[in-house]
Amino acid sequence: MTKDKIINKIRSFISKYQNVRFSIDFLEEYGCYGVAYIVPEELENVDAFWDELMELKNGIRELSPESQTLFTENDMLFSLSDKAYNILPETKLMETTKCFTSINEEAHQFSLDAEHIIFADNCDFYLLAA
Amino acid sequence: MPDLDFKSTISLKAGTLLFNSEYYTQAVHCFYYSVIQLMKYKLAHCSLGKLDYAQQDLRIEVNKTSTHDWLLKEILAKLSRQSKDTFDNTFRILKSDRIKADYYTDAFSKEMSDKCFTNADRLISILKTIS
Repeated sequence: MTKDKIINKIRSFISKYQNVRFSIDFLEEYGCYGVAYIVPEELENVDAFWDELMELKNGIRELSPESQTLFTENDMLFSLSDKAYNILPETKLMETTKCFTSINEEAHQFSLDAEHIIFADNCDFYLLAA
Repeated sequence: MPDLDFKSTISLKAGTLLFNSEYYTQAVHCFYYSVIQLMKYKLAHCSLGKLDYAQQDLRIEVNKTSTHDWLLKEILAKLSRQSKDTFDNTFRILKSDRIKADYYTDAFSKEMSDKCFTNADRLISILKTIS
């Protein structure tokens, strides 16, 4: 599935640039996937980062040349819906999982599928609420 | 004979006139081509690695690529960092909108068309930074 391939490529990218936040959603108005990202201030003047980001985008576009993936920094060009999937680096996913399993027994019910990664991303909030 | 920077200005003006006359879908075509015309002009008049219009045509033919994709690639090579990224993202959105406006049954609302104007304006501002 194209979405999974896009996510895998982004995950590989953010293993190096962990502070860049990516989200993906299907854009009904364009009939393709849209990817939004937030670049932290410390990377704004790093040429190598922008070059690698361009390589990432081109690599993702090659996954589905007929249905081009669109990109935006922040929400400059389009906004993603509430159902947008937040992509986390793999290391962060593992930390989050540990956090859940050590504090709440119910956490064993969670798996690392699309929905729960979003839930895990809000880990601090849920822990406070508990 | 008017050069393409002048034609670009007129295309943007034509798009604005269409927009103000509530031809929101038709205006998108003008907004997009205003950008394309300025891209060609900048490649022909930039200080480093300029290519006149005949040379541009030849390169496109040799590379066997679409004119607009080739233009985008060449312009991106003249930009750096964030402006390169912004240009890349914005151009592709505007191109998608232009295709929808010209070739499909989509009708553009005032807001959608205005967004295309904003995107064209952003692209033109970036192009003007190329010396």
